Amino acid sequence: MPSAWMPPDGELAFTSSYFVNQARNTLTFQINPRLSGSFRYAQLYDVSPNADGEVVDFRFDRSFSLQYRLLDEAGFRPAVVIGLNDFLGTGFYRSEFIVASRQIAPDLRLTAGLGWGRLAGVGGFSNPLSVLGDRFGVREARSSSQGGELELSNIFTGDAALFGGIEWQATDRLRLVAEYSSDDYPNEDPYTFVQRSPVNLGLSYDVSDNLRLAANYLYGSELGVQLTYAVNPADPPNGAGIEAAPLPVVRRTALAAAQSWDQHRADYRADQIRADYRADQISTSTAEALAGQGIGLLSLQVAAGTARTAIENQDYTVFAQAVGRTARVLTRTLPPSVDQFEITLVERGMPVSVLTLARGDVEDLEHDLDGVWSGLTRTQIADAPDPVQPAPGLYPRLDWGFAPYLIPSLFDPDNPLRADAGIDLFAGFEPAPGLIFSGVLRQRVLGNRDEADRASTSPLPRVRSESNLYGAAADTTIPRLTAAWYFRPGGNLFGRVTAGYLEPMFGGLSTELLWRRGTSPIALGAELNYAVQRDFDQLFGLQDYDVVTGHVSGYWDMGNGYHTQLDVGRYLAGDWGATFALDRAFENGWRVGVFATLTDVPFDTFGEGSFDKGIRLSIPLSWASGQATRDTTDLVIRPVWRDGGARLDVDGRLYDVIRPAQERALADNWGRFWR
Amino acid sequence: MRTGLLCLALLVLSACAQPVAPDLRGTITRARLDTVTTPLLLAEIPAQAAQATLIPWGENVGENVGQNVGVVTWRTGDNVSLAFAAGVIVATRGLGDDLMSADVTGTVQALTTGGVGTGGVGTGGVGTGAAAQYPRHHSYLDGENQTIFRSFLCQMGAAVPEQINSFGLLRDVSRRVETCYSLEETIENTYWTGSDGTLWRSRQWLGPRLGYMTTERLVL
Repeated sequence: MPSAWMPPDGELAFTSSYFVNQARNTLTFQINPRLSGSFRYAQLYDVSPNADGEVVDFRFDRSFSLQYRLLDEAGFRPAVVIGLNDFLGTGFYRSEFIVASRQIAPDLRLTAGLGWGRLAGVGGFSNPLSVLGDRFGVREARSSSQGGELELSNIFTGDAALFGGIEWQATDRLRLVAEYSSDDYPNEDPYTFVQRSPVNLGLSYDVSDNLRLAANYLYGSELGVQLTYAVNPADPPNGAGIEAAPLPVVRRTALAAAQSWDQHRADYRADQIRADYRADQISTSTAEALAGQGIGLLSLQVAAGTARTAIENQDYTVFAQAVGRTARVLTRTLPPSVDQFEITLVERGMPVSVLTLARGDVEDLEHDLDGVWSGLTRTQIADAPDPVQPAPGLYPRLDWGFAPYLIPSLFDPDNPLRADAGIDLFAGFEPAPGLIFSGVLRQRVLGNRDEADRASTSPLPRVRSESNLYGAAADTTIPRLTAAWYFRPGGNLFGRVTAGYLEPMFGGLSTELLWRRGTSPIALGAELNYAVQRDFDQLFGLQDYDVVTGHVSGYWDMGNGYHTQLDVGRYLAGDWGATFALDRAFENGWRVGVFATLTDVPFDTFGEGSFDKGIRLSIPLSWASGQATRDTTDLVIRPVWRDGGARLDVDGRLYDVIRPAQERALADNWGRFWR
Repeated sequence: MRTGLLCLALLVLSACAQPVAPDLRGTITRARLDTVTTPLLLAEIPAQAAQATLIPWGENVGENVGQNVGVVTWRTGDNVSLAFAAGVIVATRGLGDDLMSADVTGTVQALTTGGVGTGGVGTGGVGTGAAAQYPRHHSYLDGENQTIFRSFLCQMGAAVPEQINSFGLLRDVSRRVETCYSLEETIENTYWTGSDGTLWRSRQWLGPRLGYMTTERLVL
């Protein structure tokens, strides 16, 4: 039963429930305080897809739902929520509702609502909205069998029915619910699921802040269980982090006294503050101290009271923290004659922004109550288009290592959850800043993705619908082997050229240009690619299919953490269209977003799902562990992955590479400067 | 057979039992402290069941903390740092919900000028019987790296002479309790200072999730 209660803003919850022949898995995200969206994957056994029709063994159903809170609870007024279930799917759960909930006693909440569609199965009566027009009286059956079509003309039509319930918060953790349900489960086999009464009873128990377990006695005949795991990105388990404390700032007056410290301060000497400042020693001691902080020093030049450094942020999700740690190190290693620090942030060999700070401000504001705001206003941040001049001996450089991998494969009706796991060997060779030769050698250790043998029935060039063949062909593969060049064509401009085996299914050449001013919410980009389809064994072979693709992209940082992106152009199957994406990005690195692509491929040609859409999540490891690391876990969940609207999955697209190092992101997160 | 299974079960259970963390305080003895020549501080945070000894790491003397009182930063062996101004906590790092910065000029002033009970008649002028109120501010970071402030109105209580036992060494100190009020909570910080102004022991509030921390100066 829906209710008008909504979780806190930003909460992401995964719910898994099971009762008589059906398992439902739902991912719900509170997009903003009033709007909530869900994606549900239901596995239904012994159902008749057309109510009262033939019973089939199973049906796996994907659907999207939205709920919006119209009114808040206040005074005598209840909270009112309006919802659309399964508005973009195959219609199993298609329903709309309007529901009101109110707390009638400190631990008692009453809910009552009106439902249409699937929620009007029990006790339905003619639609009260018929007063607005005759068309509200009759609900038409879905005209599409492919799913994925938005048929909004049907909403709130047909019979309506009442539902309601009462919830009692018995203790801090235990809650009891009794509800009158208006859903009569028309698709379930009446022999396996007998509904004796429309009254459901349930109890739920909060095992912890994140985990809730529930058991329900449904329709007087069946028992069901449910598990919900919720996280709120805005509430990290380790607060602001438990990473190692930063080095204390050293004042220049203290440096001068360094050589005459008495025995009590012997520990200061142990932290390697140098009182002698030979030029070669400054660079070495600074590089060592920064390396200890997870920051790479690319160059250091001291001239006329200013120290110019170029650094690579290796470990910090938030770049402002890398800047602050660098400033602290510089106060310890540079001679007192240096008054000003210029710190350039370099990503993939491209200098992105340069920050100018006065050493005196760093000394004075370390323990100032308002150190964050004062520090930010006294720092100048500018674009840094001039190439990096690295210290001699740093380049060429080689980096390599091993890492485990896990690749899931979802929603195949033969087995909805498959995965492969194994080891990756990655290597990168950089002869000069911005020129990166890199590759990954992947060895599968165990997994069942090779069991996926559903042949593609797509009439389009099979650019994505044969992904199962790529997963099955070989145990040792080369997912990516590229030569990439990142450069700054000019002020506020960033460029990339990548060539080689760009992704598991395609190789070729990818070029990109991005314009983004550090303070601007808008960015514009253009990408032009030549893609050749790779052999299924993901080694060096190529297939016959090749295509020129490209997009013009607009990015808009709307503020409050909402970002939108629009890409218009040509996709891998040769189709033309546009992709719209909406993401909610949290300052700590979490991103939750949805995307959809509409192209000139007709819905029937596309096949099941009608058009490409999905949900994407990016979870920073530093949020979960509290330690300093830039690693993230990225997930893309597509209900169906077919050939229309397919984009090249090339690594290193510029917007996400440079955005965290530009002024807007630095200023928004300046709170971490002093961490 | 049955007793065999029972023994096996007990063995497994005992292996699964969590080892109890050794109490740090219990391992410190006066004899060991007398051999230490570098400054040493003991800090305990009951809410996190954390205890550690700290050594000095850095000092920043400047006007920003008022009265030219320096801020001294101390460090634990596992890279948690605590920063104090005249013994009053002003910042922590590495504890999670860290105190990012604090304005404790009022507290430091109240501790160093003595107030009621010392200095005699004529000190401070008006109302020597009533303690003056002063503000205190703390700053923290929320989950999205934005600074949040908590402000209090505090007053320092009268000094009460007391004798404390610091691992076998008896010290004559004066205990003062600072009571701070805000809309969300009321906190009480306790300071045990020696006659020369050294803060030998304290119990200070770090934040809503960390709660109170007790510090004890082991070696000066």
